[in-house]
Amino acid sequence: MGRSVHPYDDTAVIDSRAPRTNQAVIGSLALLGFVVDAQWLIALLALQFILGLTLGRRWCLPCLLYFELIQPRIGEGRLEDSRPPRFANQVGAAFLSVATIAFIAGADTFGWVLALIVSTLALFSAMSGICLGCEMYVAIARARGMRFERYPV
Amino acid sequence: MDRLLIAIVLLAAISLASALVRRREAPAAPARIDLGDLGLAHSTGVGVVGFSTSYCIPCQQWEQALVRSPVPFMKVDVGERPELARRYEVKSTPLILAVSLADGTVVDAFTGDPEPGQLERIEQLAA
Repeated sequence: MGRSVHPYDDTAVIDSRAPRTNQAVIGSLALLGFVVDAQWLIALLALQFILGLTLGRRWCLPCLLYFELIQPRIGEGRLEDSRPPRFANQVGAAFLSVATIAFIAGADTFGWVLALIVSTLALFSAMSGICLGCEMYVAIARARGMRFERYPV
Repeated sequence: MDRLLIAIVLLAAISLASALVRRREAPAAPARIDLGDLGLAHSTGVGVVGFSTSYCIPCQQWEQALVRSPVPFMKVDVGERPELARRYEVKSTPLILAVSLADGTVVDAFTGDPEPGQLERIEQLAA
């Protein structure tokens, strides 16, 4: 199966199935963390988000899962502007980081509320294809007068 | 046990909301195109208006097929004409509209990769 863009180097666009894979993995693991009361899992997910956002897609494990195992088998999906899903990841990273800090500070309930918000939004995006964080980015970009081609491209 | 119950309820709610949203998100297409917007003269028959972006692979596939077809084809790059994308609420590309050249009525619409039979359907409409 051919690729029209490099998954790790062409960072202006992304195969739209990659963010959905990321959302499915993050949402499922955050929910699993809640069920088994694994606060360390939420901290790991926050770290995973931060590594992917700062060091690139090669450091994002769900991206590797998609680009190395799934995409070669099913082919490249529709390309989309990568800025909205990146913004959504930044919001997710912020929520899970604050959740981790809340756990450390002993505010477990607050931490789990934040983790469940991330889990709910991520799973909703993965299932419906409607990424609320991305929609937020589009709304902000337009309010700031940025020329923006609505995703997906 | 309480946590498992909360998770199950949450999953059920997410699944339900996703199903409802997907149902509402059926391919949206405008009912009518103002031919003057696109610089098209009123005439008879059916033409195709294709909304695309520069790096949309399915758009290129549609374009290659449509330029070879006898059906009049007008490409609209939404990056160059964002006002048209807003006016016609183009949510994704490609959005391929078969349009009556008499009054701009959209008679059929297609999204995603071109599939077998779709070009033939457009040519039948134009015949």
